[in-house]
Amino acid sequence: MSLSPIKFTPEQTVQELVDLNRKVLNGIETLGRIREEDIQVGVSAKEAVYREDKVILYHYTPLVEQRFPIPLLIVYALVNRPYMVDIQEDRSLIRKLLNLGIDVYLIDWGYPSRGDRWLTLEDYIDGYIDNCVDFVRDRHGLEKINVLGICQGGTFSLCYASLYPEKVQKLITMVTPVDFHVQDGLLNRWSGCSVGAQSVDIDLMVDALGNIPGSFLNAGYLMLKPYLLGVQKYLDVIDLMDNETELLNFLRMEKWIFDSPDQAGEAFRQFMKDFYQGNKLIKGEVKIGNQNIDLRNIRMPVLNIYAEQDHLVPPASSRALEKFCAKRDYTVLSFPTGHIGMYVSGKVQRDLPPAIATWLRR
Amino acid sequence: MIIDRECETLGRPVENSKIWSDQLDNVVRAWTDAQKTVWEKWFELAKEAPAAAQPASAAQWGKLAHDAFETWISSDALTAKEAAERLIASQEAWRRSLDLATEAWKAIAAKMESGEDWQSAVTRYVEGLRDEFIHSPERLLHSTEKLSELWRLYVAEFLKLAQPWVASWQKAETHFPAAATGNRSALVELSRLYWDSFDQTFGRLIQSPGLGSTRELNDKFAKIFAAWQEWREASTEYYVIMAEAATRVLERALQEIGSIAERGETIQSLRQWAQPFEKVADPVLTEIFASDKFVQAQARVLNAAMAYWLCRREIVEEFLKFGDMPTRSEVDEIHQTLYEQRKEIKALKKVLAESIAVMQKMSVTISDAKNQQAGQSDSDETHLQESPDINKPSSDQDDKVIPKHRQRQRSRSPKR
Repeated sequence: MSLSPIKFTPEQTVQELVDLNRKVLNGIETLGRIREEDIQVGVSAKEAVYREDKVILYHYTPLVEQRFPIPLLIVYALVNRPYMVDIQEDRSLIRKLLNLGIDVYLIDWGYPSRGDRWLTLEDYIDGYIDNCVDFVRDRHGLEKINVLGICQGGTFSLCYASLYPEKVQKLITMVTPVDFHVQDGLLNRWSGCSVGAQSVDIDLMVDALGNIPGSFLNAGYLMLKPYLLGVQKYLDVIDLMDNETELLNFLRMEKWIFDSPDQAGEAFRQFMKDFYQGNKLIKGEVKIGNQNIDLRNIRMPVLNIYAEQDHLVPPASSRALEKFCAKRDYTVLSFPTGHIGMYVSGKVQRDLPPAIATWLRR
Repeated sequence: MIIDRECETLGRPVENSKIWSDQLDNVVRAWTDAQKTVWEKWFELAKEAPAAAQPASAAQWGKLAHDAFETWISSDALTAKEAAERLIASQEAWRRSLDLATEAWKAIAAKMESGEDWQSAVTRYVEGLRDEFIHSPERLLHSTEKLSELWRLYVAEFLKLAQPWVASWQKAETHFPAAATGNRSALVELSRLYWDSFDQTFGRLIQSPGLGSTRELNDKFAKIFAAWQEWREASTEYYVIMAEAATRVLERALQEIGSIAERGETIQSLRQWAQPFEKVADPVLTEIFASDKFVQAQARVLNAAMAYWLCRREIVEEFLKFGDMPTRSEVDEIHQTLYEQRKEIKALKKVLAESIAVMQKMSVTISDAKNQQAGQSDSDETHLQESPDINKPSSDQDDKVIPKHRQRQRSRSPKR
């Protein structure tokens, strides 16, 4: 064996560093010229139709004349901002659904402040979601509407559909955790599914911090893939720096990734203890207020969509829904991508919206 | 190293343009220093450094960097600015990983030159590194920083929770392992650091006239010291695991480089040199982060930080009360009351709306019944007499005949 595989000279190294640094510095200069208003997110036209506390229900302006009569309400997670589903014109689940004639509503949870520390899951699920659902039902004169829950919003939607099956025509869950004790999920393990009592003391955390800072949670998400998300990604972007379109795409994603709202303390406490640590959803032991969540109440048609390489919500965690809901009419759909890829991958952008629209029209 | 301090500054969101401007010189200096460091290491490795090239190139970078950062500083786009910060931080992390691999490969190459096979050379090097970490916490900290800037950010989140105790926290790191083994002078040093911090913060306040040293207050101080100690111990345990993780990443990266050589392949650029590191880093880390040992250590350090935070609040609140100022707990209590009342008002509004809806419905039903009765009477009485319009529904009642979904719309109000 050769003593060393290194076959480049100091001159080459210097040259490479020169090239690399030139790119980096040019990139930083380009970044310096970009204004905040250039980094547009949440691009589709919408109107705030209902407000309650910090929550806003948006109705997206239809793009086609002929619309499907039953509207779709999107329930997003609390831990990130919902504009990810409408991040830019050519990467917008919402825009594509609108083009397919789906009437879309979306709940924006806002940014909880210290005054919202006492909000519970009951307030979110049996309060805000139910009031938004009622608003849309009233507006359209319908008994039932369609609901699409994404990630943690999917878990909330399951709870909601279990409480009010009479108000949900069809339910779509996307990258939704159901079985929180699937062992191959790092978040599940960090939350304590494998070490029981020796895991993070959520009560202590909420008592100490009140609301849980979004930046703190975000640091944890980045730790799931520290080299890729903290180093590699930025090395790769150096090569895109001279392409303004690509650079703006990158910056939109950066904006979204680091735009993490704080979590209302009491809601966080219950979500972590009952769902992550206790895995009570699949045991039928979650209580929202004084009502029990029984997934078997979910008798409406369900479309469960998951990402095959999801590092945040392991596929097995999403797929578990099949075992626990009433599954009279249960369809599962997966894409060969990761959690974030579900919003931005070309294949998903091309195939997911028509799949949803077709399933809704079925 | 200069870059460490500069990145520390860069890591904080600073919106004031004056501060950004003030940072310019430091940032540029850090940037050029980093380049020099990389070059020096590589020239040293190759043992044929064209020394004359160095100063000229460094000066060139100085100018380029100055121009680039000046544009950056004048930008008002926070997203782009923060992305640039992360880009710089990633460059630093990347450079550190290259440094680490280069340093290691130099040592291994020397062993191989003296006839040792590369696998055992890698193993021995890594074992040596482990020993060094265990006996030198300072190096341990430095090495974990080398792996990824993210770790620093993660730890910084913990540090934010503990201001103004950060200085003692950092200094104490070197004394903790020794203190844990019963080294008396380390214990004394540790204790001194704690009381220095105490004097600079609570100590000054406690000297305020009128706020005497009571038994209760002393108990709280004893409690916070215990919490601080637990937090330090937990942090040390956490860092040991992180150092082990860094070592394991390095070990796998070196093995990867060895395999490249074994296959007769070559590494022809810096980017290629970094690839083994890039390939193994996250899989190795994921494996370690998924272990119960790591999960327990992370939970311990978080729990200890939170317990410390609560103890600290108790003391801070004593001083706030003394100064006639509202405490965090009191503000929380007000928020809770407001929240409960808001919820109650929503519930009452809902009941009210439902009652109105029921009344409207009843009114419509009565009206319908009256109409029906009137119709019946009319037909009965037509034969008898012409009746005045006494039973005819009023226009007001007409208004109440509304479609079902409109009724719901009228009656709907927020539930909670």
